[in-house]
Amino acid sequence: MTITRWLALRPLLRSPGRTLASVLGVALGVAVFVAIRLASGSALAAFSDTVDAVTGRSNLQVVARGDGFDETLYTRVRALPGVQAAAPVVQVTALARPGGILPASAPSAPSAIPNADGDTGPRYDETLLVLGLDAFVEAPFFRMELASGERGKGSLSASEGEAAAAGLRLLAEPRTIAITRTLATRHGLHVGDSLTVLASGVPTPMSIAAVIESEALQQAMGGNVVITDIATAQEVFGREGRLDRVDLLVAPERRDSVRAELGRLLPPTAAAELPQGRTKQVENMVRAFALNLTALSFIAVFVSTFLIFNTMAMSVVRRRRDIGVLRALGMTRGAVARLWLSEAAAIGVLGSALGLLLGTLLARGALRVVGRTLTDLYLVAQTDSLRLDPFTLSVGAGLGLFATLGSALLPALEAGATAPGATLRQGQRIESQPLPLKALGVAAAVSLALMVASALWTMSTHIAWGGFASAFFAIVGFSLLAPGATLAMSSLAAPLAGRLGGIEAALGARALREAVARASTVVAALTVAVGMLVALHVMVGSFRRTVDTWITQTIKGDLYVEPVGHRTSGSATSLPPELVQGARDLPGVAAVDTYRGTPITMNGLLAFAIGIDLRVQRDHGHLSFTSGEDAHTVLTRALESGGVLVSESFAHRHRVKQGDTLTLPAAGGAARVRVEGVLFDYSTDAGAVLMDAATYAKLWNDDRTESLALYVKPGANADSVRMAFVALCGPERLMHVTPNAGLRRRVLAVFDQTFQVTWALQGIAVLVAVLGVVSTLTALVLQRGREIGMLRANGATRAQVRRMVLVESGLLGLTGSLLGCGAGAVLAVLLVQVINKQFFGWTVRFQLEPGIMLQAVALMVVVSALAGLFPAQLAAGRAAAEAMREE
Amino acid sequence: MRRVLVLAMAMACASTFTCGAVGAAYAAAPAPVTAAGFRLAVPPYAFSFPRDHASHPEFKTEWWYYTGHLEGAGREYGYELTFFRVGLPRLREGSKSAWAARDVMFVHLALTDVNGKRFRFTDAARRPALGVAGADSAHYAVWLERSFARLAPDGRTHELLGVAPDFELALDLAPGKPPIAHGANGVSQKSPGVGNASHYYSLTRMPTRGQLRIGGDTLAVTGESWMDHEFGSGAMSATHSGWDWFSVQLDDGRELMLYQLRLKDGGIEPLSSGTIVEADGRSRHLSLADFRIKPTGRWKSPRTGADYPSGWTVELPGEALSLTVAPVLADQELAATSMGGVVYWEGAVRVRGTQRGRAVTGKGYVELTGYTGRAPF
Repeated sequence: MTITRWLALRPLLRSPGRTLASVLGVALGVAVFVAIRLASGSALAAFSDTVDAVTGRSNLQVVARGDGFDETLYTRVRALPGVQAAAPVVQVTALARPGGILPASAPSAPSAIPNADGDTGPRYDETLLVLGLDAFVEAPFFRMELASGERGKGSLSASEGEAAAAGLRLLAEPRTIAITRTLATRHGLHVGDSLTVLASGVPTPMSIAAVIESEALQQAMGGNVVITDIATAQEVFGREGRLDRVDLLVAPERRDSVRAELGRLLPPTAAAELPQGRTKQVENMVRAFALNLTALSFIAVFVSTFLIFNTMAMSVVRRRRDIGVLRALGMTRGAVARLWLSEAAAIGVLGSALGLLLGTLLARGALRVVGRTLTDLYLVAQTDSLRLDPFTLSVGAGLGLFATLGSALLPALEAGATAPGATLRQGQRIESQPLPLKALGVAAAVSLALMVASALWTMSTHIAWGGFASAFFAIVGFSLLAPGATLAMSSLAAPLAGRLGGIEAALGARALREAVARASTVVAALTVAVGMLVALHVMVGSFRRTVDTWITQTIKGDLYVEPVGHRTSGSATSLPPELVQGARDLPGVAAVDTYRGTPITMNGLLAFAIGIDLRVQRDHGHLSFTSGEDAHTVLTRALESGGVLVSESFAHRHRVKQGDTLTLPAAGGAARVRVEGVLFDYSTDAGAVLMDAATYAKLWNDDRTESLALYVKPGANADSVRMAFVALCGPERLMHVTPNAGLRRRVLAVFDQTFQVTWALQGIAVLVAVLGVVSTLTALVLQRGREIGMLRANGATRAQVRRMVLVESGLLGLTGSLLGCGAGAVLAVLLVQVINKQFFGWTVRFQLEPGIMLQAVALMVVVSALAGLFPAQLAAGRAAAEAMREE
Repeated sequence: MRRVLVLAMAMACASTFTCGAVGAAYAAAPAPVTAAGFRLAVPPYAFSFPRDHASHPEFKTEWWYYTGHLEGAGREYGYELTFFRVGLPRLREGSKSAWAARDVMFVHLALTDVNGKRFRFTDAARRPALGVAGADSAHYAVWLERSFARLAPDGRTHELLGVAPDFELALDLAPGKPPIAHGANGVSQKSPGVGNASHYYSLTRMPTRGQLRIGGDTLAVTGESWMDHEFGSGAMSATHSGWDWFSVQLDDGRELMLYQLRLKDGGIEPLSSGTIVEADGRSRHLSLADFRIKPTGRWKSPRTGADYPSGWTVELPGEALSLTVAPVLADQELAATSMGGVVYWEGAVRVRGTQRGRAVTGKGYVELTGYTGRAPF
């Protein structure tokens, strides 16, 4: 080991505590970044793999823009010149469980009926992707590689025979399926066993006729893929006459011409897409989701750069004498600067390595949470397998190193600039240069001005990243205010502290001023951490209250009814008309609202077209409109004109307003409809177009019902209506029958789950800040050993010294957290009014929360004071003489 | 007779779960049916044309089979175009899905380039859904993708189109002689037992003209074809291992059809039979005792390893007819890829020999099944 390297590493080893804090700071930042990227990347990769596997070798697809398209389109598509192969696909996602139908147990007792929302029946834990295929045209797509079971890869001829036998069974016998080896192994299933799927809530046992051999499908949806005959898929899920896709194999040189031809041929319910198209769409959705989280992980990195800067700068000051010696011995400025940089590099390498390790561990947990959120929000397949994407890992490591070296650059240059002679004198002051307060103030002002400018810019241009830029400038601006705030705090607090806590408190307050350069980086770190904490709290709190108010005011049905699995299968769900009529006829039921919806694509964006009973909504519901108009007026207008209502997010995304005319891509052909109102709605950020059930049935040639809302007559008991309805459904159909309060709870539960990751992230940012406080205070106190020694020599008691340090550290926390509250308030406004508005177009009623601010301040003061405890003890314990000798 | 095997093969799979044995419920009804509800071929059966050209969905298996010898631009070709319909067990009755399969349709198309010594072959299977494939039960038309066979509006001409990736064959076939019913009482018995039989007729000589598109060229071709149409619901007997089938068009205007079902023990099914058709269209049934078929050579497929006889002598002592049968090309093996991948040899042959000392020549087609060494189903 060379002497210089030793010189670089020795200080790290000498103060292991501080080194550890720095390393941890970097590690946490890197870990959070890596965890979020790995988790969202894995979720996306799993989805894209599923799409690839499910697509087979297709190089062009006709994809339903919603709830399927008319299957006769298939014959026209396959006849196009240039199409070499065409495979029709019915694709449904459904809940399932291994095993057949359990013997009915006392179906007459209502409590035994597994209909109650408490779900007393067997659990349907697996989400399956059911592919209905036509075996006869599958050969070029390599999806239907089937085997009859136990045997591994036998002789080719035998397995060919097997495949044919299995294929024929799927063809001839209703309710037969082939499952992946993965799924078979997970549940110990064999050919001949059953798997029960929920079709519109009806448990439907499917007999396993074969095992899917295709390797790609083993991994798709985590192996939860089921292949069945296309007729079976249509029969079981009530999708007769509809296809979800036609996968094409097209001569590559004719792909564009076929695509153009399809563009002319296809109705609005179908579109020609390259197989990557669907992945792209989901990628965009996931990216928007991941962007928020990544931004948060940068906060953690940002906070830790303050701390590294601090550690490095302090190290320069503390070892000024060593530097002087080295310089006097002939070491060049560059070499000295490099020495410090290599020290930073050591921290960076250690921190990054630890961060990668930690990040990978965190990612497993994050994947579960992120995956669940993505599944809920975007119906993306859940995955358990984490992909250690080397690119993300390198970027994470690079981020750690870059942040460390970047933040060490100034201190290193300062070290290099040390004059050889100057430092050899005893008693050099800790602070070498006064802080350029004016310059910092100007910089802060500029930054805050930029914040306002970019916020205004993004509000007028609707370009989303402007919002993030604005938030960034806010953080930088408030960080730059930290030194000024520290000085102000010191000046303000010193007299007060003196009066309240005696001379030692006044000294503590004044010490802040002495060490302002170092103290203010800690204050800045605290500002950022507290700012984020407060801002997120205010934003999420405001949002949650808005949603809660919305549900309470507008969701007025007494019972909400949907088949179990509806949320998984979506529009591939329908209730028999006699059940709907039966519900209307139940005693105690005042009205029944019906729901039918389909995803649609407008202007390249996902949205939902929804048919509800506007008459029932008008007479019993309480929809609320942005125009402030009374719901009765708006709904009557819509009923008379056959017009539609759009959600606020739809209006925002598609720039439509009341009175505009929309062209809907309906199944029966493009339909022009008038927008009769814009309603508050927080159920989906994709945006919704609501219309009367009759209008929907006409436009989409579809009068089916997916779910119901029951309004109970005044005086009737909702609970007994619920029991009556459950009895009406009978034991063979599993339904969620949720009372109003339950629905509200569920919506809020989904809401809270969405923000779980957010809380974890900001917790980490706060943790990093606290680490910084501890390490900086320790250093600050140790540096002032001589001063403390003099105090002790002059008669200060240990208790006084301890109090002095506690006051100093408490004030540090107070300054940081107060500034953080200011930053938080500003950031919250940006998040709610700018970023959220640009991303989702939701009106969120902004509400500051003084409670959380008080808590944050109290927390930070206490944490800082506690952080000062250890160095205070250290300082107090030192013999006066020893302390004085030190300097 | 031929494709029984193919069909049985495809259906054997199905029979493992529901078809069950052809446990005929014939005792109760005038028209006996299988356990799965298919009608059995039992005597008597009176053919009626053109109705019987069309599909008979009440029977489990059915095929329309055309072979022929063509000439054009100085080149000679042999072709085979066959459509199969296999009824599935009726488990999807009442389904509202257009894809619910009651039948599976197959097409096999082969072209033997006699001069170029090259054999081309393609096959496909489809379900009759959305018009992609089908067999009309009222008016004769069977089709799969673009390939079809049908009766022209004139009620006489058979129009064929066979589409392969590398060639297309469009032919018009005129019935040179009236249809010939094989077997007795309209039933061709394949093995002992009620319904182990089929209704089987042939158009043994059909003057043919049309076009062959191959390699960017379009050739006008003429020649003669042979059509077989057979339908029944019987299962392949467990004691059979395969069959050898011969169709011969002699230049003196006569035709000959012979088949022998091979038994697993090496013998020949006693019910094996044939038909001889006179130049004037009269026909006679031939029983196994009336003919002797002896292989004179062998050919082993490098593709499947199947070891086929190749070249035969055929003796009909009662007719004083002695023939040697020689393939125009050794490799005319069809290794089908669709649904089950049945493998058989079906090829154009040249026939020469003597009758009462007078030289006779002719052309023919031979079908050989069950030589792959594995169970054909």
